[in-house]
Amino acid sequence: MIKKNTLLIVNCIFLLFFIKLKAQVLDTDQVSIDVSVPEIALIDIEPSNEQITFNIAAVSNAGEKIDVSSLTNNTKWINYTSSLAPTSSSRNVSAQIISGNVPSGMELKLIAGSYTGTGAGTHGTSSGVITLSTSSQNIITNIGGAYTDNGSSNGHQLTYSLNIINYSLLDFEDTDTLIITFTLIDN
Amino acid sequence: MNSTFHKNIMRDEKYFKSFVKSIALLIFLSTSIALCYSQTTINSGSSVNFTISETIISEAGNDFPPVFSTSANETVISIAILPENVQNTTYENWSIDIKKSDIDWHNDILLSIKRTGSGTTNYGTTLIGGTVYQQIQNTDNSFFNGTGWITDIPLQYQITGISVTIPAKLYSTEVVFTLMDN
Repeated sequence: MIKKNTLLIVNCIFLLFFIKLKAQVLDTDQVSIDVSVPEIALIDIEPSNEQITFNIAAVSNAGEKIDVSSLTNNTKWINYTSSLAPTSSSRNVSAQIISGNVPSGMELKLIAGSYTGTGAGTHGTSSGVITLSTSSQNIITNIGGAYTDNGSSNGHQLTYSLNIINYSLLDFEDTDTLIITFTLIDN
Repeated sequence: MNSTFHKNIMRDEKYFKSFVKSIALLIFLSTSIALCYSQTTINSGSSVNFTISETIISEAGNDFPPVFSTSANETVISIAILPENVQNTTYENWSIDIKKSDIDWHNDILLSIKRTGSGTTNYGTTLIGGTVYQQIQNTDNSFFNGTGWITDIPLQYQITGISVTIPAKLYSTEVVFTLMDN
């Protein structure tokens, strides 16, 4: 009888010891975490929105062709930040003249270069050279969720070129100011 | 021969009855112990919201800031192992494990947590670990440990990896705290 009781006690002690050795889950609790990432569409021109100027120099000798090699400018860059909802496919950058007229006998062309810089994401593709007009035209397409990083040398370099298309219409006393807008729009 | 056989059967029956009694007692004891330890509480807030403002990016070309943090006491956690006695209020060893269970999450978003204070206690308790940010994984990892009853241990969350390169939407996960008896 004593042996049986002893055995029983030993068993109980063993069980208690076993229970204490094994870590038990006593309770659990949950906290829900929500992170809301907003849609964002931002664009600007770097290093600044200051105007660029094309001066057409008069030829010094009669019969010479006007030198248009200096009528280009690539000092401006487009920076953008684009955060897209899953339901949005992509975005484009469009350009259009909203004020002023291109001098008679001339055309103003624009190309956005391929993306370069220290940003990340799905950057857009250049649409190649366009002739600026009062109609909106895409210069960069298929921008996904991306940022170009900030400042010159980040994003897409803009190259303007002013070309003479009709000498007979040129007016050397003509001065025109154009305002060009760039818009980051949903597809 | 028959008498010996009968005695053997009687002895076996006695041992069997004794064995059954032992098992029943063990089950009773273990159940009592388990019930005792299961009377525990962890109290915390039920939700944490990282609402990122649309205007947080002020300059085109930039990404979101690299780190978002909650307040230092976004969640408070209290631990009390019942019943109330000196062993449980002061000396009982426990630990908190932590993991997350994703509902709709993005692998680029890293969620971290840390303990920003020691809470309140009326007993000679201890509290160790969890004071530096640790990333919350999808499997349990040790967060901090201690002894006895402690209330309102403050916790702070942090997320990194938020970028415009991930889809703009609501991401959700659930952080699970598990109180373990050590």
